[in-house]
Amino acid sequence: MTDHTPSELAPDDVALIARWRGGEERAATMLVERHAQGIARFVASLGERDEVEEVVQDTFVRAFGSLDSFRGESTFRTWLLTIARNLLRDRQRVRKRTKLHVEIQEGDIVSSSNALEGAVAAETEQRLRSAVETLSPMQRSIFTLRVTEGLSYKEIAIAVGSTEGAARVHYHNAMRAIREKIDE
Amino acid sequence: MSECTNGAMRDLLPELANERLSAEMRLAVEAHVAECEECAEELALLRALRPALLREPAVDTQRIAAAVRAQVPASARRGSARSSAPWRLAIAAAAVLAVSAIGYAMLTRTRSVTPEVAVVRQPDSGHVDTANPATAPAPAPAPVVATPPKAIAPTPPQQVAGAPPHVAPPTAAPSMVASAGALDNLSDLSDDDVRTLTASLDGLSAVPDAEPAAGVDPLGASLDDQSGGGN
Repeated sequence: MTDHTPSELAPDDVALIARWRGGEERAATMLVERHAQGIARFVASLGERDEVEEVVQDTFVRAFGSLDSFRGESTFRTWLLTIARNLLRDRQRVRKRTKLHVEIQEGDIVSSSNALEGAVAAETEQRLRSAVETLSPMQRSIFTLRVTEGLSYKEIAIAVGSTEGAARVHYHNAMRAIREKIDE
Repeated sequence: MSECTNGAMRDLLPELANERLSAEMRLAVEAHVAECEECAEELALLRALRPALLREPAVDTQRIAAAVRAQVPASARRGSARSSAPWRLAIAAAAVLAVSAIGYAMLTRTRSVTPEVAVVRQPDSGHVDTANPATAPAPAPAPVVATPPKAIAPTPPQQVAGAPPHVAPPTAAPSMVASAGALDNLSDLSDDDVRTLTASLDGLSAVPDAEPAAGVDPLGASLDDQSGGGN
């Protein structure tokens, strides 16, 4: 159906992992270059603003340090997204305990001013991004994975810890909400 | 604007926007979009949103890669390589074999007990496994063991009487024992025989006497005869 299916991507990632295990440092760099930006968008979509790069770095360090547990049942990218989500969840727990930050959860809306902080964009683009920012973190992350990363609902379900059907519903609800926001 | 009723096509709009469809599918989805106003609007929105969402956040991939190389020890890589070593597969195979062997042994042991039951469940055959002492002291009429295939089943006492001699309780009542000789083959009993037998068994106590009645040997011979035999 698609030209860019996970199964077609997998061999490249698996080959790079094998090369990394064989001692080739460059393989790690290639894998980071391939996936870091997508992981960063996912992390940001879940509400993380201040420490996106730190979370992405932790994700890769954790992943490369525990490649034993990667069995290839999902794509490497989906596995990375899952690790990133778990790391974010851990950080949220710590923040909740220390009361330094508001926990990110379903229904928690990140304000447009924070989302757009430092961004210089055209009015149309700003409006679009503002509309996305009004989504709940779950809707926003699923919508971002679908639109920017091109993940299937099955992959999204694995990444966000949900079901395929729920991911589909969240996506369509997000699309409807964005359209309504734009039409206002 | 009419609502799209083709969910399958609508589901593929992100793939179309991301140019990830095969040529064939792209043509199909584009043909649908050309006729569906809602999908056309949604596709336009997706194409506008994608660059906006892709723009941020930017991360320094070189710095992240350097951190990975610095923080992931070489031993972690070797550990990963060992995880697929053949000996792990060998251990798993050995474990499977061990479980299979235990299961086979348990199955064999179970089967070794089964023939004892099979013998006593076929009183019609006239065969008695007297060589097997395990069946001889059966203290009570276990229904499953002693049940003849027909006619006698409704009344448990009949089951006891119908069982081979070595299955009957050693302290069986005299009236019951008196009939035992005629019960080698229950399937040959007439209806009158069954009624007579049933009537005689109705008077039995559920708990056998501790001792047989005087002058009657549980095995069917008179005590007088035994004593005359040099006892």
